[in-house]
Amino acid sequence: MEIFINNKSYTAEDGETIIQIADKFDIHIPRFCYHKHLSIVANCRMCLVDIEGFKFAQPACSTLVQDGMKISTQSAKTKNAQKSTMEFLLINHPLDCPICDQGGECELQDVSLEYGDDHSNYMQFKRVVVDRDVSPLISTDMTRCIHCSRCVRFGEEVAATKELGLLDRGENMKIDSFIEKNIDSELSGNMIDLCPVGALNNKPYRYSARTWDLSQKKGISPHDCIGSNIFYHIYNNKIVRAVPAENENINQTWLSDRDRFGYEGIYAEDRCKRPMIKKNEKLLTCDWDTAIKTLNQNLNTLKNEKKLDSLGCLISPQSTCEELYLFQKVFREFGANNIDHRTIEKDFDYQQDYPVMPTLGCDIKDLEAYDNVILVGVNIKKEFPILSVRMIQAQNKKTQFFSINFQSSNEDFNPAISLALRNDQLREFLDYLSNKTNKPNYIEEKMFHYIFKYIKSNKKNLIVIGPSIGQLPNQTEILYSLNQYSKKINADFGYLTEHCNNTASWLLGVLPHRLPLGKRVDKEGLNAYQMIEKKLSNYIFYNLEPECDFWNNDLVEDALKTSKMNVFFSSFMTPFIAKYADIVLPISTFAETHGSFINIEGSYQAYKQIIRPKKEIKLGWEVLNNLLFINGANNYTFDTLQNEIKNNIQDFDVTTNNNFKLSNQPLKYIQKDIFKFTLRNTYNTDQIVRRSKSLQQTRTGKLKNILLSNDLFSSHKKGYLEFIDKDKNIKSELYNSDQSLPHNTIAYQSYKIGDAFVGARTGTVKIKS
Amino acid sequence: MLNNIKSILKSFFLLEIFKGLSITGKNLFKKPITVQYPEEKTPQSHRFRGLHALRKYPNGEERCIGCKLCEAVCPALAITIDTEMRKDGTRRTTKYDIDLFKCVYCGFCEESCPVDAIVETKIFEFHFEDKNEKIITKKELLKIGDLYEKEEIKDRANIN
Repeated sequence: MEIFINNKSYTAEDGETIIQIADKFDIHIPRFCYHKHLSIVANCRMCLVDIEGFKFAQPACSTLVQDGMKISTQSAKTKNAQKSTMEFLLINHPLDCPICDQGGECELQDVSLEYGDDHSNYMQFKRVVVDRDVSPLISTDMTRCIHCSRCVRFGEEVAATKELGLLDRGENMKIDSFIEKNIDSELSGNMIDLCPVGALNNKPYRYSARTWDLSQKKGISPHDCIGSNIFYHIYNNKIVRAVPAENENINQTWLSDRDRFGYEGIYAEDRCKRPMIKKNEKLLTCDWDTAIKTLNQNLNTLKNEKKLDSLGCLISPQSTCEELYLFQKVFREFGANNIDHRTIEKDFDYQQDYPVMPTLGCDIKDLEAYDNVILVGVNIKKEFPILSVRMIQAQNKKTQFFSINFQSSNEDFNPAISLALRNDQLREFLDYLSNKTNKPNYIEEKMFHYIFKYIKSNKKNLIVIGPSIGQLPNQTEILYSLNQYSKKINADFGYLTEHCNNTASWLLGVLPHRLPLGKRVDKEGLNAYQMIEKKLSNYIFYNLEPECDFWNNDLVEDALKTSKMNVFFSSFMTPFIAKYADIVLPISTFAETHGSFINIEGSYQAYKQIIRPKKEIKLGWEVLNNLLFINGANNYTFDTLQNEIKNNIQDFDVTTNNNFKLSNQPLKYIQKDIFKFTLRNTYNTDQIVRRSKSLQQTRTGKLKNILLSNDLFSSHKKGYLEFIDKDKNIKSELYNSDQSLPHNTIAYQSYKIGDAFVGARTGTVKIKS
Repeated sequence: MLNNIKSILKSFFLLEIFKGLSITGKNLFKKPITVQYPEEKTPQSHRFRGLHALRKYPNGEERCIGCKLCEAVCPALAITIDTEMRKDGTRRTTKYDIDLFKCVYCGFCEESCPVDAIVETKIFEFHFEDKNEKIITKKELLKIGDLYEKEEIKDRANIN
């Protein structure tokens, strides 16, 4: 159909609103309450436009277009309506723009300048609203609120956790959380962006800069494998805040709190500032040349003595593609075979048959095309908050979710079934689903009924394997059973990985058994767990925190104690590094280097350096390149390096099937005693997030207890908890019961309980009675 | 020919010198207009824009709220400000530097200030013995403000 805006003709579709057409053709209509991803309420009345044939101006956001409609955004009637609306909005808005952080990027300020009047007829007192401290991430100045209700609708529709609401009516109307509750959602930061005025603002950023002082650089989220696009705002070479960069395929206009506030970790006090070398049992600072030369010398001695089997090279999958690629290249060139990135795993029997690159199996935006999505070992709300938004959208389009985890998942969307199973039960359960023999008695009959009714092979099914599966001692077995089941129901296979760049680590061959692009290695090396368990005499750790990034930190400490040379390429000086390191090389974090990540759909996203590192900190890839160069290899520039990687991976077909066949049926794992596992706490997943002060102050960040399943808790009468974890005796008063755990289970909420580290991520414990 | 004779006569009788001396002679007995600086000073406008000062409220609280409008408006980029949240939750500056060599004394900072914190006093007699002193800090600015608060109030009353 044809409509006319300001006497120009435009084509429109049936069912579109005026504001959508105007936005499409860059005709500006002022608005506060309208947002393209939220429902339409038309309560701010700012978008009133003059439509021919209507006596009064109509809201453009809620008026549907009709054929031949003549709209004017410039006429006197429109202007008058806008001016009057503006005057009413400003009646109760305080004039504190000079101290308001929104000043300079405020929609109310802009609109008032363009469409408002220069004087007010209102002479009475302004309304004042008392503020409450609702969150460590969001500062509130509710006097400034203009009741557009975007934050309320965001909570209702996008995050599906209703935390804010409009209370009271008329003059007393205010936005507040219900019953004095805090805002705890993992997506709460988006309300800051949505708020058109300065009522909800970024708390850590508060008063640190003005918007016109900031420069903006694009980055990719380093905290989860979704790869959200972020704009970092920089003042004086310091990141002061992060806002989402729009990408309809990945994060739309949203960002999780972890991505928004995670950058604070870069400014932690324990950053490594200078290279160090151990001399006479003491770590002393030295210059870069000495450090690199010493490392090179040591490596060459190993090479000449043919002892490279005793060298373990471990890298974190949080590193950029360039670092990962160079890392395996450097140490393969020396002749080392023990290269791995899977530091949080224990069971590696699956590795030969695993896909070259684990991906989600579909694009993130295509999740809604599935009829059933079965989530195994993942709690989306807590581990991949930004994916929650997509899943809520998918659920609204009739996709059913089934969640099977070690703790029944607390999700923002409503899974049709949410099961909590121990690792041995999980296998039995899956086997029953595919073979219908040995029916497990701990699951209600109606659950099975429901599953068999809806998950059928003629539907489109997706099985998503979460990062918690990787931590299990019987990972292969679970993967095998899942595989059997996926064949039975004709499902696609998808993965959600621990860190932001696991996909690239697999693809670029940071593995003991594969070269880049899945080519075979002549001589297979040790995997990450074997390297630690076998107590090698030389270690190289890249970007890893030995306390928290390993499957069992006790074993790591033992290994570090006995080894001869421990080299740490690290951004942070952790206690273990200070104690056991022989060479410390301070390298950049994700923000201080150019780089790229491959997200879980397989899209390659590059970004440029966001801030310059401090003087003595070098970019990670430069150090590795240096090491290559002094051994006579070509000197890379960043561009040649990136091009080499791009050329390597451009022919790789991302859509290749994730389904893989395990050639051997694994042995049955028998769980004795109490099953113990470590929850992946949202704000504990990587070394940068762990150091983000404001995230650690949130309710989720503060969770550091031991959870007992109900049966264990009720039989436990002491005031403290004492149990044996392998040969370690653990005593703690920080414990409580949790209904969502399966029987006979203990869960750690964090890698650290009190001052003690938890030891193995998964395993068995015995409670002392 | 005639012109040549005229100019010879003029230079022979020193006519130009006497003409000049007559002006000198006249001014010698007039009242002089030179001001004997620094003993004497010329009157200043109420709007004179000299050295900067940061003012305080009568209760001793600094006026500046760190909105950075003066920094933004400064055409010579002479002002540098850093802000923080003070313990009582208010927005305050941690750094307020003015580079007096860069400053063109245009008075835009004064004009843009929403709380009348930064003002330009009538002081124009200042000098530096060290080049680094050209940057005056928040502490110094507040001190100048304290010293000249009364005059500022008077000037402001006169302007209005």
